Amino acid sequence: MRSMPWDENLWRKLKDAISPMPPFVRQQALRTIVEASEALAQERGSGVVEEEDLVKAAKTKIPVRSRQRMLDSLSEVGINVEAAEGSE
Amino acid sequence: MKTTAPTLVSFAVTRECNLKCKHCYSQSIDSPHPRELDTAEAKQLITQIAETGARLIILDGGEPLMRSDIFDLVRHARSAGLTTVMGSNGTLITPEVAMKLAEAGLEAIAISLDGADAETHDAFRGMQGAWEKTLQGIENIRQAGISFQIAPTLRHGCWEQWGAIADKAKEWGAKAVEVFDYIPAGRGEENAEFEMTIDERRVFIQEYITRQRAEDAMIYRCVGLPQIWAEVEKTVPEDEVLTKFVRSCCAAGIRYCCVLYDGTVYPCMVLQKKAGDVHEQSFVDIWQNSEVFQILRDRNKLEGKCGRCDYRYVCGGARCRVYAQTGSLTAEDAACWFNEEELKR
Repeated sequence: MRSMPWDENLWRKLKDAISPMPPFVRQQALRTIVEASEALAQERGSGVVEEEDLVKAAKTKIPVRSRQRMLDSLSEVGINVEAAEGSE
Repeated sequence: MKTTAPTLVSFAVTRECNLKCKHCYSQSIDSPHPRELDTAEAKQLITQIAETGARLIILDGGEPLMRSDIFDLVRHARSAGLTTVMGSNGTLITPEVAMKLAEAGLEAIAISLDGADAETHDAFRGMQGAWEKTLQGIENIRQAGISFQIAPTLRHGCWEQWGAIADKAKEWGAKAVEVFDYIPAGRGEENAEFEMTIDERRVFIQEYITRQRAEDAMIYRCVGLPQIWAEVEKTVPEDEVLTKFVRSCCAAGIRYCCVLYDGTVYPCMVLQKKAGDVHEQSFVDIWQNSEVFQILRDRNKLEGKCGRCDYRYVCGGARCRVYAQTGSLTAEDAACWFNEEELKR
């Protein structure tokens, strides 16, 4: 699913965040956020996906209907969703 | 830390029950509690639960079908935008009741089954003939087209039956099996001999993982044994974890809480530390500001092994068991078998 390197600690947190979701929801959510995070990392010229890419992807690329749920899940596993740029 | 919405809230709508189970966390008996929320209060609470952004409400008890306004409460929860499910012993689900639940908009029901045979189930549930009535209730629910899951309680002396129960659940068309570890809370405190040993829990977890890995459709969940997720991550390939396993605890006070029939709010049905009372405060206020919830939401407050553990965000120890045994919300889970090396990811 990943096409470029991730901060391994961040990847673990993302997996933790989506782990309470039902598998069929999780697959789609994971695909969407991984693709968006990697695109954002590339846009800023980085070869590694970092926390700011993930949070920005959650705030801008996840459909509005599921966005808050994803942000809540990321927050629950210790990701600071307030710090990164992006509009909720 | 920003307060997130609960994923699910359980509301024990009544203390009244037609059974007398040995583990009953809500100390249910054959009459309602004097401070039980009336219809208007119960609807107001449901509205407030929806206002927190919660997605799912579980109406349970006691036995929720003892309440004459239960269909009205289901309808109200649905109209408030909540996915509405129920926890029941199944014995009162006649074909008419099942149809009325479906018409009211109930989306799923969890039915407790605490043995693979009538003798085991009836002895634990405190009523001879409960097994037959529960099975009939399951059939009636199935006929009404409502999704259902089977919920056994694991306990010392007969936990091994859970596999046979799961096989039956699958045969009957259940969507999930949600297994509860025995936690000595409520009436369960008086029957602590039912608690499984650490070795029994370890064997159970291996069986649980093996079963889930072999399944395509059936979903297994487990409540009260959060170490399961660490074991899953240690032993199951990542692809399979992502496609087959659901982390279901410990979310007490973080993604989940429980409102008792008398208005008391607990972090979990089996973590009975009072976080507030909806007779005195709105549910929204309690969810957002309760000191009990604030403590549970900060995993950096965990102590001992749990505080040092790399799995503290996804496990955090069985807070219910810790509280029952020590009175602390943050102490280490003494029943955790991981050594220092195993606390590392």
